Amino acid sequence: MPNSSASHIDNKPAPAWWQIGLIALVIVLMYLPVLSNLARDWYTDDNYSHGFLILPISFWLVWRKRETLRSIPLESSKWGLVAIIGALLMYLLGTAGMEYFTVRVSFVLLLFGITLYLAGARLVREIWFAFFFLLFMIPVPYVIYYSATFPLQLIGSKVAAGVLGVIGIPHLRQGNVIHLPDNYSLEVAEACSGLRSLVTLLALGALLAYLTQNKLWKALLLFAATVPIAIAANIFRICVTAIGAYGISREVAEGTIHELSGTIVFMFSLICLLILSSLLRTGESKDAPPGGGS
Amino acid sequence: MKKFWIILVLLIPFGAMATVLRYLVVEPERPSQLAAIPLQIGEWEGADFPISEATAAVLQATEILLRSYADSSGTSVGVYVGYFRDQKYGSQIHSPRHCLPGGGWVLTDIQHVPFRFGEKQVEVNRMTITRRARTDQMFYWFHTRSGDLTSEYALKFDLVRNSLLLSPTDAVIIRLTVGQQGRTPEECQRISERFMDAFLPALRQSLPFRSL
Repeated sequence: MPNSSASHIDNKPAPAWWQIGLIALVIVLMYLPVLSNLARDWYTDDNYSHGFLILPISFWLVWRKRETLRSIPLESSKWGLVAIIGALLMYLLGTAGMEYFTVRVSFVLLLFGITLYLAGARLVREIWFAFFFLLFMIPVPYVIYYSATFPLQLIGSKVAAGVLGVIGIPHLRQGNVIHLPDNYSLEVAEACSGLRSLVTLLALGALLAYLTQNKLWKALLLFAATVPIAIAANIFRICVTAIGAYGISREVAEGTIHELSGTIVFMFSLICLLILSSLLRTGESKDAPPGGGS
Repeated sequence: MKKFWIILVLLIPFGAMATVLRYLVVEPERPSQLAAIPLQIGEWEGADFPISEATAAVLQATEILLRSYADSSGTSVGVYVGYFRDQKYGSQIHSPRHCLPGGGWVLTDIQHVPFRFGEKQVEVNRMTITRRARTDQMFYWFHTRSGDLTSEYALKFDLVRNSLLLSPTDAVIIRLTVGQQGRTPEECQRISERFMDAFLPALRQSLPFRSL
């Protein structure tokens, strides 16, 4: 049943559903090992548990625009073809080098390219964020992640050590390790750095910025604010754990507080983001439509 | 519709090529024989270090040599050689640069330095590593069918190249450690180079490819 997506004003025939279906099938076959491996990473890596949510949210981001999308005539962009070829080269070279990140990113780029090629730039302009958002489901290569978060952790430990000094808890900081009396050390290692939730927060920050802000600079500001908020939350967490270890007992610090503070810190960051987002919106007229209203 | 066919014609060959690359394993000519490297090499006398199952599971090397060699004056060099038969499947070389911090070592200095042994000069990574009261100088580099590589990125690039050329993707990491004990980093390097001089023929013998 060709042209069942109907009501297009242009005279070029839209791709038939079986054609779209066939392309989708080939892509699924090409990427099946890649995607199943990605889902396993979401399942096993606590930093990326949010990966499962990204795909449905992206679908929803497209779905909520369905009325607008229907009214846009189908065009075609040659850039789409460029993106498709680029994605396929990344896919091939990434597979040759077993470089998961490259192959995974090529998946998003390929979907983007095909949409651009088959539907044109005007339609893509409405839903570009859904593609961008998909990137958050892909774990950053650990080498890059560590070299990016290591300095942030160091800042966190320094400030936290300063705070401990002010409230009078004796300590000695060596790099990312804070030694407390009684031969107890808080290793502000990556596992309990709090920055564990940084990528999840970045994804949330991006989504919030897109949905609530209608000025680009405000959206970017809100997105960028995710990083200092995550660091602040992390400092808070180190201090609470140190106070717990020093004031109550080391078991408390290692057990309950540690587990609990992870969740609390995440909520704390989220609330900060929400407050900032509404602060950025104050003084604007209510009827300005956020969320990628062009 | 033309665009549909263009997309399909692009997707299918790339998909097919990638599938071949993904599942094709090109076997090296013969297995490595690191275990056959003698304990006595010239004036150096070696002793095996036990490797815990946990460590082996993380390293995922096909064969591991972990020894300490000492010369007659008691100067000792820690040696780790890891042979990876096929880097394509999850058993890619773990770089000391990433593993050591996980093990509690602090890397205070990382440099690329020229390293001389036999008739060769190789660019290696020299790291100063510290844990508690102990400071070591560590030298490491990678070796594949294409030659000697210093950086992790070069190694990755080399893997892509060998994989596309359908040649075996085996690789070796060579890592030497000398305890600082009051020596300068340069003195530690001389010791490592002197050891490598003696060790090279035996190492060459043990590898399935001969470009070292």
